[in-house]
Amino acid sequence: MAIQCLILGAGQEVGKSCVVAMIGGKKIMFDCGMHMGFSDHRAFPDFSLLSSNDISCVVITHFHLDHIGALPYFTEVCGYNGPIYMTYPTKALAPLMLEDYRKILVDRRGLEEQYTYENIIHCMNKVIPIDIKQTIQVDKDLQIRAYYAGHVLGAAMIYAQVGEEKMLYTGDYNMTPDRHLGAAQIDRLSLDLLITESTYATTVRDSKYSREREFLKAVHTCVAAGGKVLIPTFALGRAQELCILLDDYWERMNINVPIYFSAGLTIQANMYYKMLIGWTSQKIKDSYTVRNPFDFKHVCPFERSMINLPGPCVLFATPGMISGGFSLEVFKQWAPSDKNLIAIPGYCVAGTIGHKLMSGKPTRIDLDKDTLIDVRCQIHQLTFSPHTDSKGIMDLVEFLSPKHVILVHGEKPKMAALKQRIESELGIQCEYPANNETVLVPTTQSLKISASKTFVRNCTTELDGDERIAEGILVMEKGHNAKIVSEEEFLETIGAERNVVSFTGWMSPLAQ
Amino acid sequence: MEEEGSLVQPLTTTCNPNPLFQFDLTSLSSAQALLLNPSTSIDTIHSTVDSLLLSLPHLSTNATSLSLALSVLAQSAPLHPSLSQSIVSSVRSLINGQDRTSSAVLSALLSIATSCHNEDGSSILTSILDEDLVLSLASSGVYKIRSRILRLLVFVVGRWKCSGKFLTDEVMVRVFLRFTGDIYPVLRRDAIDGLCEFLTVARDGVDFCVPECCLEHAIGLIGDDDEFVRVAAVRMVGLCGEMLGEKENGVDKIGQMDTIFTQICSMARDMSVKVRIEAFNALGKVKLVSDAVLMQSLSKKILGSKNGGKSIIKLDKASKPCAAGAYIHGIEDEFYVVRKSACRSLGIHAVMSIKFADDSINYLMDLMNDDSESVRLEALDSLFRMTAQGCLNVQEKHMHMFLGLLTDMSSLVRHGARKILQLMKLPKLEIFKSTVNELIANLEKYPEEEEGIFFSLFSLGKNHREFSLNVAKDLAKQIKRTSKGDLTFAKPSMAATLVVCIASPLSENENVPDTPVVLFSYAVPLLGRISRALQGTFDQHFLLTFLLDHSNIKWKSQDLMPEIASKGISEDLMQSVIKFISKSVGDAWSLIKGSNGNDAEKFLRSCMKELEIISLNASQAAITTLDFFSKYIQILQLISKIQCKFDSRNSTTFHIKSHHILLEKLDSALRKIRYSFTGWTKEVECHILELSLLVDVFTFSLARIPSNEHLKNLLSKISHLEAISCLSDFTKEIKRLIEERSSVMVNLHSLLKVFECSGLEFVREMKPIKAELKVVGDDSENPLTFVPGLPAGIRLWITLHNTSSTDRLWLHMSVRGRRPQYVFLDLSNFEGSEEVRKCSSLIPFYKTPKIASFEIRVCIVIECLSEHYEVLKERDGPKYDVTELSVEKLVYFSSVKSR
Repeated sequence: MAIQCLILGAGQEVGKSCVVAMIGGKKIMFDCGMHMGFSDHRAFPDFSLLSSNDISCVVITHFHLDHIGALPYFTEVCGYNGPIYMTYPTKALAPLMLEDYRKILVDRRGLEEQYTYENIIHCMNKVIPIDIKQTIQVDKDLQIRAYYAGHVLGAAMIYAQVGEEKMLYTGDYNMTPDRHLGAAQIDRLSLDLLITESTYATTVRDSKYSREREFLKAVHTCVAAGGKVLIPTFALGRAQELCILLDDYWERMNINVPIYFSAGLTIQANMYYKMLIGWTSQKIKDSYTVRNPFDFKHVCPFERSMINLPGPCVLFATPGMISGGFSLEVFKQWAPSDKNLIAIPGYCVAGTIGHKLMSGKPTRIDLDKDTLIDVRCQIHQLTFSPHTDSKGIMDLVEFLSPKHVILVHGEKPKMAALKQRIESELGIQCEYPANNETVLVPTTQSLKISASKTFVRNCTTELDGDERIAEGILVMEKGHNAKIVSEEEFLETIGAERNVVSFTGWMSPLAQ
Repeated sequence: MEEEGSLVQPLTTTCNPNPLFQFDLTSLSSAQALLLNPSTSIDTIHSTVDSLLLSLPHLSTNATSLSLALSVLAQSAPLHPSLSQSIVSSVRSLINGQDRTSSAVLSALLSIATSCHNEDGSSILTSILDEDLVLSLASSGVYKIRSRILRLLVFVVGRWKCSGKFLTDEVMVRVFLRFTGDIYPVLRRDAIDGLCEFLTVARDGVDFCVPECCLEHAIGLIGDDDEFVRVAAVRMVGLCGEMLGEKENGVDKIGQMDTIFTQICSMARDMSVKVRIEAFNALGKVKLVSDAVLMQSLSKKILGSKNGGKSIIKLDKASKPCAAGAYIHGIEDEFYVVRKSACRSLGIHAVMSIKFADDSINYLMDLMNDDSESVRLEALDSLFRMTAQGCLNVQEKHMHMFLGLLTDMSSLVRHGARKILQLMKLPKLEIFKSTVNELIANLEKYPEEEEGIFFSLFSLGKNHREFSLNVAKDLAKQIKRTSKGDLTFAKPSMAATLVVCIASPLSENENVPDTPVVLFSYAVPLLGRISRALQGTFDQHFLLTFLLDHSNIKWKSQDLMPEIASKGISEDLMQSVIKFISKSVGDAWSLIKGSNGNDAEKFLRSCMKELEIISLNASQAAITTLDFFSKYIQILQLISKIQCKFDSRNSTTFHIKSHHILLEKLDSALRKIRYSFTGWTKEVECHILELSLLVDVFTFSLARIPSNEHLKNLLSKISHLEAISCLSDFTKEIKRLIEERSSVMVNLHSLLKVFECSGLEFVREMKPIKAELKVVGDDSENPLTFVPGLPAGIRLWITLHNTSSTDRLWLHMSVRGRRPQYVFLDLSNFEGSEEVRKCSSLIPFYKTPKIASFEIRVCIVIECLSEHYEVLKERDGPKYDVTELSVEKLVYFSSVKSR
């Protein structure tokens, strides 16, 4: 028996995660993402390689577009009609992400949409929500179960089992907890196959504490000197994490400088976090009994008119990377003062202002031919990432000790290095197939065997000290269960007599 | 008893050794009820137990009934310890019976043994178990029997030392080791717990091969599928590591410890929180680990051979990368309990290896930003231990985070941070200064922690001689620059800086010649606060002597010397302190004159505080003086307020009423000081009189047209002054003005300028005039009775101190909203001398109101005979102004009817 894995996306690349695994005759699609770098046919996985009716179920790990972006297309356009599973937070947040992206695609870039708003709604209606560690019996044979993955709110690792064949698809995960999400959590499962992400296949990240310390120091010194701090972030995830960090610090140090959230960000995003407390870290869950940690004490909503008010403040503004919108507007006003600070958390796409600021300190930025921005403010770069590092991947693989590992969601050369390590250090077979390749992973199969009474009796009498050795004959007949019998019984069933062949040899003592 | 008898009856009949008899459940439950009922008589219990025991052999065919009977016996054993022995001897024969029977017997034995006292419990077991029996039970195929014999063994091993042994150590260990391979996880866990117990109890008595053998098994089990087995296994690895570290066994110890350490490190990434907590606890127990492995546990990256990776490579393949970053994972853990545990063991190792300490300080300092207070405290504790061992090398980058702790919300964290600062060595002057500044910020924000902060500042100054000298010189320059009136040292920051400056000269007598003299004299008025902070380190007397010796204040050493031996603060010492305070108070005058009202007030308030602190330790005699000074400072405070008002009245609206209220207060305060003490020196009396003249001047300038009476009053005071001593400039000036008939108001400023405050000298013979009142048989719960409208009697105990026979004392009684009633106290009715007079008398209160209940305020007042005459409206009351001598007492009355 074997598990057959078809890598439809995220093979030797980051983007459009999609893996179809055939396990015990059942086809499961893990994730159904899109590639953000393309706007043509390459944006979606090549669904022509499979027939949508063969798929037993689709499981989505989290709400990022590279894991869910192609789902409405697959269900509404390709016509998949089976069950779709995702966690509660993913189900709540996914339609927002999908609709947001669709709008940007159609309204801003004027491109043709692949699916409509109605498609999204219709698709989401088919989704069956699951909870962490809840075992779902998809059909008679197939069981799936979600495990906590950290990464983002509602992210899950998916365990699937058919009969004795077991596999785990990790999706994106984080092995170190942050301020608002816990670390990935899994049981010891004797797996045949582990499919893991490998975004940071070779990076070993240092302690996050030093990064937090630097960040807090930079912000504190800036506001203490009367400056303003701009933190451009996306609405979900990093904003909450940094805000918890600052809110705690403010509380501890008795700082009275206001922290602002630009309007759109607060209400919706924080509302979801408040509702989904069960999916956050232990610390948040603990303090929730006293107060909701997402009811930030020092945070107040920001209005456009407040941009030029005097006095220090900290502002979280969307979108991240200063790619436009409100964060750009604030940046224009605040960048020229050397008292102010721009703290950029995380990765910035090339071409955005965020990227320019991170890749060396520019003194002026040409926004367009009429607008020049003098940049005299300080820049602080934060390297927080919700992905696990190579140490984390190795730890997980070691803890689970599966028989095979497949790497996805990473860059080819780094994946090669990691494969090397997994094979040499842990002695586990590892592969990193490219897109549209199929990998066959052999699995062990165990059979139920009945034992005859005589055999059992023989076993108990033939005990020899600590060693428990018993001899018997395995009989497998077509249409019958396998059976283990003693020698005598076997002779009886086949109606044969015992023949003993004995021979004597002679060896010359002179033979060398 | 009858009922008991009837219940026992069926049981006793069942004792009939009839083989056909079936023990029914009803009689068993009655037996159970009887045995568990605390009021059952001893005889009944004995006969019940006896009948149960007798019936046991007959039940051997019926396993269910037998096990039930045994459990009833087991339940009763803890309640009736005297029966244990007989129960045990009866069940002995059953132990080798059927599986169910043996397991029931074993559980009965366990419950009997656990209910006994230490030695009895295990001696009972010793009497019944032997090696063969234990071995045969332990290898039984039945889970229940195995689990119970194991629990019995675990119980016994905990009391191994104090009982006779039925197994040799070796057999015991072997049985446990065998159980660690059991198919049931609970038994594996119990077996490991038993081994741990064995190792702890027989700590020094065991050969080193025992822990080695245990270690081997435990390492095999740390990968167990069951969480609890892993927890127990990790604990045992830690324990074995600890024991092997202590024992001399000739093996390459560091290599062995490294292996153990890395094995435990590999559990730092376990998915179970309990395992992780146990793993970090265990890490702290393993000592003698090589630097290379320790350093590896702080880095997620595999360190190269350059850093001593060699010793890691020597280890077997499986354990090589395990140590990597174990501590990093620990302090980044999601659960605070794990972080706390990691932090603790990190601290333990940091103390033992300097190289490791240098690296781990980064992480410990970073933990100061942890969201859990208990983790922060644990990290502080680790840092403290490191500081105490001298292996803490702070760097500049840590200081921002660390000093932030001094303004932390939690007082425990602030305290912890200060504790570390007391021992810390700071590398740079800038860091030293910013530390001092942060401590001052701490003081300003949380003034209630002054003692602790001063002590930290003191230690800081003591440990950094050069830096504190630098600060001292700066401070001296600053003092020089400021004018005499600008007494900024009332500010907490100045006091704090002074503490830093005097620390090193004080503690080691070093830096003395370099430290500017002026600082010592500035520190003298802070004596009370400083000595409180340094309690236990320096005696207050020593401190004062030292400060006086090095300051430029002149004093006589013999004043202080005889008192050195005496405990507490002697009066002489007090005098010198007060002299300095009075001197400083004199300085406050310059502030008042210079119209620095706010500064003056602040300063006076801090003087007040100082007095309060000193008076905590003062003797009875000194308290009088201190009381005088606190009253005097109150007067100064009022004068300063009035002065402010006078200054501001030109510019803003002039509230004449509030002036009158203040003047009234000042007047009564002066009266109080004049009539509350006796035994003045001339100087003090003059000074007080001059002050009252000053009040008059104020009153004068308020009244647009001064009355003749006022003038007369003024003149009489001046003549009184003339009679005592020669006139001061101030009095002369007033006299001149009155004679010239010019307006005093115009010259208020010039008048104030000539007012001098130097005459205030300490008076040794000063005694307090005071009275004590005690109402007999009355409190708010049990009020005195009265008939409305008729006089009511109050029985009073009165004690008078230092009153002269010429004093006129009155008892002042008032009901709220009514005119007061005065009763003259005839001193001839009192017993005793001038110093203490006592009297008990029944005082009538005439005007009882016609209500159900009321309360009277009673106090003793003295008539101020030298004050200006004023006819009071009360016909039967004092003719002059009065001032209170005693505390006001409340007397409660309730109408007879309402009772």
